[in-house]
Amino acid sequence: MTVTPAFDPVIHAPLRLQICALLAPVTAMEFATLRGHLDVSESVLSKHLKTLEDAGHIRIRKATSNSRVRTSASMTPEGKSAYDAHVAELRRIVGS
Amino acid sequence: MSDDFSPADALAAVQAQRDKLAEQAAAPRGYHLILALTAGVLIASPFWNSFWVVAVVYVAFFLILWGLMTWYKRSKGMWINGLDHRPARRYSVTAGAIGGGGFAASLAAEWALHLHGASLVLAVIAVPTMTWLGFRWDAAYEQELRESA
Repeated sequence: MTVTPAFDPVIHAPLRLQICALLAPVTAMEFATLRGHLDVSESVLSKHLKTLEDAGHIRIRKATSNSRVRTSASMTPEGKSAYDAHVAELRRIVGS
Repeated sequence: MSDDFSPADALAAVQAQRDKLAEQAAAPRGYHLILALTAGVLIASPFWNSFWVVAVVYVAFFLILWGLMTWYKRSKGMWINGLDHRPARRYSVTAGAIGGGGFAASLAAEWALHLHGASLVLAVIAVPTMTWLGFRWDAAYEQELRESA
């Protein structure tokens, strides 16, 4: 499948790009796991997830298990397309 | 983290996250063997020539699948649908075909063709094959993550 390169300013912010890099290859990832990978505070991660959610790039789900709320995030098909297009644009710029 | 994020830095950051994910994505120890053994028991179930044995094993099979999925999610903090479109998919689709096809073939062999014991032979073939396919899936997914963003 051919991806048309397209820069996405929402995705390009450093932390949001890394969030997308983690979410794109998986079906869903828990908030705590994302935080562990990115080594950022809860509030910072929440803020960036909200920005991506508002842009329609990710979906956030909350599920209760053993009276604990587990928050997970997954990419929407539109978000996945935007991320693929953004990475393709980065590669085009870099020339790889 | 700087806002001045050059394209080269951005691609390097993406690949770094994919490499970290590749280190952690492989299924927990025993996962593939338990999955294959569960499918093997399902394939072997027509051997006992009882509808109720097959029905109970069938329900148990899906409960164990759910348990395995929960185990993976809890231990890894994420879920990867093995059937999503990606290079590794060929292994999960093949494993699914062996499980589903093996069960159908076992039912037909034992109950329609009266080849008593055929289900056990099918199960003995299916278990190591499905276990191997599980490990191949892990390896293909890891390779996909490490190759390039």
